[in-house]
Amino acid sequence: MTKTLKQIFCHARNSMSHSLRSGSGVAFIVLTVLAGLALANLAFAPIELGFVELEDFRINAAKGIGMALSLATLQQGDPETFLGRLEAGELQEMMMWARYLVLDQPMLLSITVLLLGLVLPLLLPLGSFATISGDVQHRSIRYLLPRTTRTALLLGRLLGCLVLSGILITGLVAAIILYLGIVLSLDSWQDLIPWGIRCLGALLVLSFPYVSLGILCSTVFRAPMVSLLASVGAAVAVPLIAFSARAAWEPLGQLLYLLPWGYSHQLLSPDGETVTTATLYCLGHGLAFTLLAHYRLRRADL
Amino acid sequence: MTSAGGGLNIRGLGHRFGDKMALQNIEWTLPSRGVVGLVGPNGAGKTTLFSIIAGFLRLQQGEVEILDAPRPGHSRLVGRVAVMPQDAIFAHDVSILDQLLFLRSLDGVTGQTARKEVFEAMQRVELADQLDRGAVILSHGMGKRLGVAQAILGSPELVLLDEPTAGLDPANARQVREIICQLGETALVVVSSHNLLELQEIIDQVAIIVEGKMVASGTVEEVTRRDRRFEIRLSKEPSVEQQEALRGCPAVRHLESSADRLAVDLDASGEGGIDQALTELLQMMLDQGFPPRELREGASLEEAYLRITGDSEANPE
Repeated sequence: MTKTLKQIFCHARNSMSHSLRSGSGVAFIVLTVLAGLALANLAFAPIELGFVELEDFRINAAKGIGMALSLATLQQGDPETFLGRLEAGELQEMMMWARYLVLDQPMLLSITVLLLGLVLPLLLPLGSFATISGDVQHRSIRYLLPRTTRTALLLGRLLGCLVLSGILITGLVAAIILYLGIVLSLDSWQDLIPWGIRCLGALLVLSFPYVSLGILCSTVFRAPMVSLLASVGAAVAVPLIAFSARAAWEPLGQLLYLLPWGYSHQLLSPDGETVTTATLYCLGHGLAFTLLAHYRLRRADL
Repeated sequence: MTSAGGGLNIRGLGHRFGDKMALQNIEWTLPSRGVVGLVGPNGAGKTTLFSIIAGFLRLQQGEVEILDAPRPGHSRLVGRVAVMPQDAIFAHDVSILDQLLFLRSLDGVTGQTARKEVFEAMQRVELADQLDRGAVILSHGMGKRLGVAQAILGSPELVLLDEPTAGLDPANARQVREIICQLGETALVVVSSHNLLELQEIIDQVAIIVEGKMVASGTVEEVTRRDRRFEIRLSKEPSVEQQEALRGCPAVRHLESSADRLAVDLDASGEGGIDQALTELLQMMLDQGFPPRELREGASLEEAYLRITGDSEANPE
């Protein structure tokens, strides 16, 4: 057991250091940082450049987020009556939630983190798509297998990807908080830091299923590029198919829950119980993908 | 053949790739030490057999016990088996030193001890000066030697080497053969190779695999003398007439002549058995005026291989 644990840490460390040297690893790091900063800039720009007044922006943001949340959770119903229902208070819960994010908490941080939550599912597979398939393609996995178990290899690589993704996300959130606190100074540090920690926790929890999805695809497909297409494709296709299929037959909308798309926003809910449930769902999703990847790797001819 | 005693014990092994049966009913028992050759034509199933023993391919049919572990890839085997695969490559963007240190770290060896072991292994294959470079700069032969170096890291009890000397220059091939012989003193080394002359020098046992079936296995002596063949060295090449006279000897079933050597298959089915057949042959040679300088029972491994695999045109059977 101790030896297996040591091997898991060995693989994790090696996976991380290899990411810093390999083309795909560097691409993942650079793209994640660039995308994170670009999204932050997108959220800050209207205020920073003085395009809108802060209070107008806050009210519009609350409406926009409320609508986005309603759409994301498939509660929009008939599009023609959607605005009417929104105004009539049928979607009160979503509006309350939106107000919590922009009125009770540092607004720009909330908006940036919500945007990151939409983009990270597409970026995270970049860091994990080659974890197994890269070695399988070059057969370098054959140098490893006599010296390690497949379980230790998989868990080690998963841990390495999670830690690397975690470091990147932490760095991004820290940079955004520092910018908001020092340059924009719209919110106090007392507001920014606790909410920043909550947002960071939400993003870290959200990263687990998507990193696991990348690793699952990496064990299923032997070619890294196919693995990348499959993992990013799944992240994009699931909501698209769910929305399209729902128009044909409403229960098909539940396809959205094949990935955390349907509940990931609940990680920032004002209700603690909802947050706990969403966290458990996320961990469950990640665990399910990991178990599938483990099953696949153990049975694979390598 | 020697019993396994913690070596390798394969029973009823079969493996299929789609419709193609790559291995069929392989039975193979090997001791815990020594050098064993695995030979066969291209596509015969050697690499498949290696891959199953190494745990790369899933066991489909039969049983494979390795070093007292019940199946390939068992956690009890971690760090005890070393493999030099035929087609694996090292990562190009990481230094060779880092990659070998990582492999040792998986065995639980780190720090200066690991560095020392890596340096020594690389020195044995004369690649110590390449340690800080990436594998991308290595030639095919150097890559092979690097594969051998990683296989001898640590103290493996079973070493599987797939074509270890293919593409090596004579000096490096000789060096690798010496390493294999040394390894064979403490571990079971299974070597796959097409260079049978080279293999004959270093192996204690051999197995021949053809179309997924193990058609012969045993000591080199056992495999090469199976057909009662005798190799005879002469002082000079016999004339055509002398050869024809020998072919006329009732005990001679087949005769091949090459420079100062004769390869003769004897018919040992007579009353006096092989001794009588041999006496008749030698008497005929003395009568013809070309006494043998050296007589050796059994064909070379290469000849035995060609006969067993059916590749020899000279084989009348």
